[in-house]
Amino acid sequence: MHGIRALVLITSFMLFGSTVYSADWSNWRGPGQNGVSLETNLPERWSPDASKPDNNLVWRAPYGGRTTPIVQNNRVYMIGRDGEGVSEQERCLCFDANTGKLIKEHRFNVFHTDIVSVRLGWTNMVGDPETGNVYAHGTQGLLFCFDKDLKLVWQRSLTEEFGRVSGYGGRVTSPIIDEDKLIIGFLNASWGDQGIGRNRFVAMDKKIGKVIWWNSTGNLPKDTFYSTPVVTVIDGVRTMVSGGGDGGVHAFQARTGVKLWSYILGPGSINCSPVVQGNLVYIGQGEENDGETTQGRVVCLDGSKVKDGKPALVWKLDGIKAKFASPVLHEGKLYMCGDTGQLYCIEASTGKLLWDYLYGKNTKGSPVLADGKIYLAEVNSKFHILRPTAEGCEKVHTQFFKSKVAGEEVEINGSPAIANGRVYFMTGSDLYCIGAKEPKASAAVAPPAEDGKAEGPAAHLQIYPADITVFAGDAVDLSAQAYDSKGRLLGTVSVNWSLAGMKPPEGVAPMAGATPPPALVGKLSAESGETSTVTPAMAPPAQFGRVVIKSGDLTAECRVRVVPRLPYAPNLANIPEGRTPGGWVNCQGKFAIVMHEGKKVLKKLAVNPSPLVSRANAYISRPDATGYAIRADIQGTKVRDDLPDVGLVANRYTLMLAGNTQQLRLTSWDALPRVDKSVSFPWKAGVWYTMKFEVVVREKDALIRGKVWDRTAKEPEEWTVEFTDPVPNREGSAAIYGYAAGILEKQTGCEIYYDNIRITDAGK
Amino acid sequence: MSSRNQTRQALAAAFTCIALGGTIAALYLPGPAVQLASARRDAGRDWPLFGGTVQRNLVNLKETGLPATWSVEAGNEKNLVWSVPLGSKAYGGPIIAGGRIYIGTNNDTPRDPAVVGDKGIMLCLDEKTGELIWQAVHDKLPAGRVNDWPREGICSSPVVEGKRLWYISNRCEIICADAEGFRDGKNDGIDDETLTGPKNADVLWRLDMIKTLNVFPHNLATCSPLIVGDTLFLITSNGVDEGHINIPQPGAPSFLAVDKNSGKVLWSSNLPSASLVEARKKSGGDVDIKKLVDQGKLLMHGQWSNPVYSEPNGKPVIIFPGGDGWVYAFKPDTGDLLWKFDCNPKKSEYKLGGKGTRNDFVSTPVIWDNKLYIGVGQDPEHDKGVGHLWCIDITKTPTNPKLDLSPVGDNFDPKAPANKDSALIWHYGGLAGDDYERNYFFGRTMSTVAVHEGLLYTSEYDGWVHCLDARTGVKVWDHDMGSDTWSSTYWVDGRVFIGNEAGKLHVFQHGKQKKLLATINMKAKIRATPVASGGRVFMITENPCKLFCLGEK
Repeated sequence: MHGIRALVLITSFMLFGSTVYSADWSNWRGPGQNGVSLETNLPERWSPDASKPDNNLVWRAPYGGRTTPIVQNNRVYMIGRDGEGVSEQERCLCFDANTGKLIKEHRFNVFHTDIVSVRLGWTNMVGDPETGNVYAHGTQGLLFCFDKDLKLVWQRSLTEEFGRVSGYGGRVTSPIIDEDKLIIGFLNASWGDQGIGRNRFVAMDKKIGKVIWWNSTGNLPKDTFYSTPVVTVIDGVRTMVSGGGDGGVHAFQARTGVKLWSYILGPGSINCSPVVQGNLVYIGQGEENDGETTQGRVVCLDGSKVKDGKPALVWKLDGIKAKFASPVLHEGKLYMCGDTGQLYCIEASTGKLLWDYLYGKNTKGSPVLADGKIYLAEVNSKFHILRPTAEGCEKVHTQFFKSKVAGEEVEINGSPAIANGRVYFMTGSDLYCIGAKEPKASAAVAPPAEDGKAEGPAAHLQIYPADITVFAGDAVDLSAQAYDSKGRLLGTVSVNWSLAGMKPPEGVAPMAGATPPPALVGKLSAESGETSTVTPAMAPPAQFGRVVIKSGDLTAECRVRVVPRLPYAPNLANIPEGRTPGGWVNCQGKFAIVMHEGKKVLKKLAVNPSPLVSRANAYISRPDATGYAIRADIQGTKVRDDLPDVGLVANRYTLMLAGNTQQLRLTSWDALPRVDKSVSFPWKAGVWYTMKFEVVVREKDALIRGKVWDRTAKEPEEWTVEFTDPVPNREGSAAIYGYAAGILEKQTGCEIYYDNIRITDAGK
Repeated sequence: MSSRNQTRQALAAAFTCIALGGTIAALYLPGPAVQLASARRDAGRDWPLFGGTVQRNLVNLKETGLPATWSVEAGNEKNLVWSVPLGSKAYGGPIIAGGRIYIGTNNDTPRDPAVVGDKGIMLCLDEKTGELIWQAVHDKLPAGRVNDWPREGICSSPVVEGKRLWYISNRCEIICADAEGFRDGKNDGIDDETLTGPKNADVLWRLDMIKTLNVFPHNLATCSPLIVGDTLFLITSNGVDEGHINIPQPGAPSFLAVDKNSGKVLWSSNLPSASLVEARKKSGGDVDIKKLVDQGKLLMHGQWSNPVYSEPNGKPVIIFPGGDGWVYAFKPDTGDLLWKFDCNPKKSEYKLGGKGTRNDFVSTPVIWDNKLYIGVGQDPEHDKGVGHLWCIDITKTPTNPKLDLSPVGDNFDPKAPANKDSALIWHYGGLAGDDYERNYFFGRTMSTVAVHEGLLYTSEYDGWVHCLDARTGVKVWDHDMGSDTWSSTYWVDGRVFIGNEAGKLHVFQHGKQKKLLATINMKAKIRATPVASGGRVFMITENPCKLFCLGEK
């Protein structure tokens, strides 16, 4: 069997160069990215009880979750959660696909999110058939690349590095792999052009995690979203298509991120992933339809007929609440689920509803079609095998899972994966493999059509990497790449290189008369050529800027964040009023330098009541920082009966003066909370306090301790609050925290002032 | 059975009027809203508040001769008088009074081209034609979903009395409006309305509960208020913040009594969050919120239920379900607590995000024969889980200083010696063993019960319909509709209506034998409960969101 798969892989290599499409279920919608498997002889009935006849149970492993497992190289991978209380974590798991034996586990903490236990692990892992690596995006924003044995290759922290927003509904996105890239979309606000909340996509070098391109959908997001991109060739262009948090479906050149088109199909967010066949894109949404009495919409768009940035609408069908499940496209029929257990069969060419069938009560997972059957779970503890026909649908088999925990349903939120002649899926408590007792090789699925050889002239430039975080004085090598109009790489190209300041937030005009931000202070090794090396100056210690390249009419840029090196003490007096400290992420628009009591201090703004703005961490250091103490002077204002929450963050722990409860509170993952220790601490508005917070990471645990005192008094010897975490956060960006409570419509809420911010070594 | 009960209630009502006189009478008389079951026959065929009367029993004894079935399918219509589009969601109403229909909805399918975008809308329609008479427009709160969920519109069903109506807007305001709107050409009451055309609402007074009472509504203020005499009673929807643990305003009222004429607050209670205020005072701030919640001492999430009123043995009582899973009974004139009852097992636990066994209330309590009926549930976003249905004796007087009438030690046998001071009449639901096909006997519910002739009908979120003996709680029959339901059972004309998410209105025959008379395909989700009035059935559907008037033309 290995031999056959190896042969398939080799053939793929030969035919399609680096585009490898194995028969494995390496991404959650399968090798064709359409919810279809070419496998045959799949089970029509089964039982979780191995003593029953015809049980077709290959194995069951006691690991459940909400995700769709992936199957690659004879292994099954999944993301999930485990542990209770202070030990609660997310984890990635790797199993033997033939036996269900657990091979490896990688556990990691949850932090800086409003999402709680039951919705952890609600992303899907993705595999890279070329390298065998697997990838996962956690609820806290950690993005991992593992080798096949779940050994860490690289990781990034999307929340701390890029101001990723998780929301609290649990709709966290999943990455995909295409060619040499990992691509993932999410909502974020960080700095410069990204200093405003947008739904952005980022492509990274799949082998090392460096940024290749960024782009945004260009609209204000309405909600977190769950749509996973697919990549195909549309009209000769290798195209990434994804639903977004702005109610739209968006297409970008997969290699450059150049936006091709957008189509807004709903006022909420899109949780459906698209399916694409030829030039036609099918996707749905499950929220309202502006100006209509209906909810939910399914559309078919022609990605080759684009006018004014909008693709032609081939058809639309309103009234199908495609809220969670993604469609299946097979032999001219589009299968789409409503939100409450309906399966709709739609003629793909016309949008005509052929039939609908009520398979259950509550939809989350997506259907998978294989061997003439549809495998589909409903949240309500049932896994169905259905048989679609020309006229309708019949139920072949339904398995009910009785609860093992009093009062709790066995939920099924994920979708099946099909490989090796077997169907893999999970309930909230178990991972199942059903089908043939003997595994068999899977049929390979043809990759998307090729998009041909690159041909000049250059139509797009790119700097690789396109976004860097660097310490002052450190050098980073950059190269200039040129692409043709179809987003195909022409190669490195000679360009002119220069340094520039950061851009204003996307879609926001710079303030009239305002001095533009200064150019990046530093030097370039070459001002022309295919490559250059940027070295930010030693002073200022932290800043933002860009490296810009030019060739004829074409330009491109690399975002440069010069991140503070620890120890660090920003001089706020040097920062113009209205601006924010250089190098800090998620600070713009939420904080600003102001004159207060005759001195420049940093203020938490209190005019926008949205919790995404009124409450914020401004991240200062790199996410791998550890062993530090952070201190600051802080002051809050009182509005009506409200006081703000004011605090500092170290190693993903937050220490805050909680205003309305008059406490000093130490917390991590406060939505749960995993760590939560409070002591009474009466404090007043208008009074400056000094707060000091440090985390001492030890071999098996971490000592977290903080103190607060009236700034005019002497620092107390004793720590005010201390906690030993047996499941410690071993690193994390230093940050300041503020929650401006009490903001009402047209009424400023509680403001917060920060001064004398210093980050030093811990334990001193 | 029923008639004897009604006679007794009528007598009780009459006795109240005679005996109390004086100040109390001024509070409660005159006022047609004190419509105990017997009074309803004389009060025309209106359905002037959620539940039809202040006892909220979803039983309509006035209407007969309704069509056995109908069809709304295009080209194949049957018994369809008219239909009109609403927004895209409509959870408030239908309320029918004085020839008008009141429905809370959103601004999809805008009726006024000048009003665009997401809004809370209260519609006043002509009962005969469905045509718009006026609409009230409420902007969304800028804080977004934590206080005012996008596109949810107005979930409050108004209470209508004479030429006025009262409801709670999506902005957590109590609105008292003129039933005539601006059609009468007069701007009655306050005059800060920005829309003053003939099809706009004329607001008489408004109480902003966020700005004046510090209320922090979680996700949406939804209450369908009721009126007794000159007093409007409501639940404020005060709840947790976006982090879902902290209660930003534990001191703000959960339950409120205001003067219906002026909006002046008469009394308020924060009992579902008072323990947090006290615990913080006592400890100086260090409080384990989760522990308080699991002890049943603190609201868990939001508060989306409605008050109910009755006069058992001539003693007026206003009852509020709290976000802590307790039912609280107060003296209506003073706000003095009379008793309280815990609707969760003591061992139950609340878990963030929906797992767990401790519930709050989405359904509305119903009073019938001096008994209160209510089922527990959670936000449907939390999915499903175990539920309980309670029958509580509202004539019971507590003997303990805590005024607690709850069953003791999770013993739900009303005859158990431990429960001799409990108001428990019966309990239905709870976890099932291995030998039952489901995980529990009764799941979380959003449905309000209908009780008639000793039979109780209700449904649960999971789509099961239950018929029980209303006096004993013994199951008479049940039925799995195969689809979830947010809707409630509605008794009218010897039949029980219940709609579901798959758009099938189930029509059961009233009685101890289960008989499904019809399943009528409404071609759209049925979330609001149907209402019968004037020989017609009024049904709101969702996706598409429409109001149907059904009956013989």
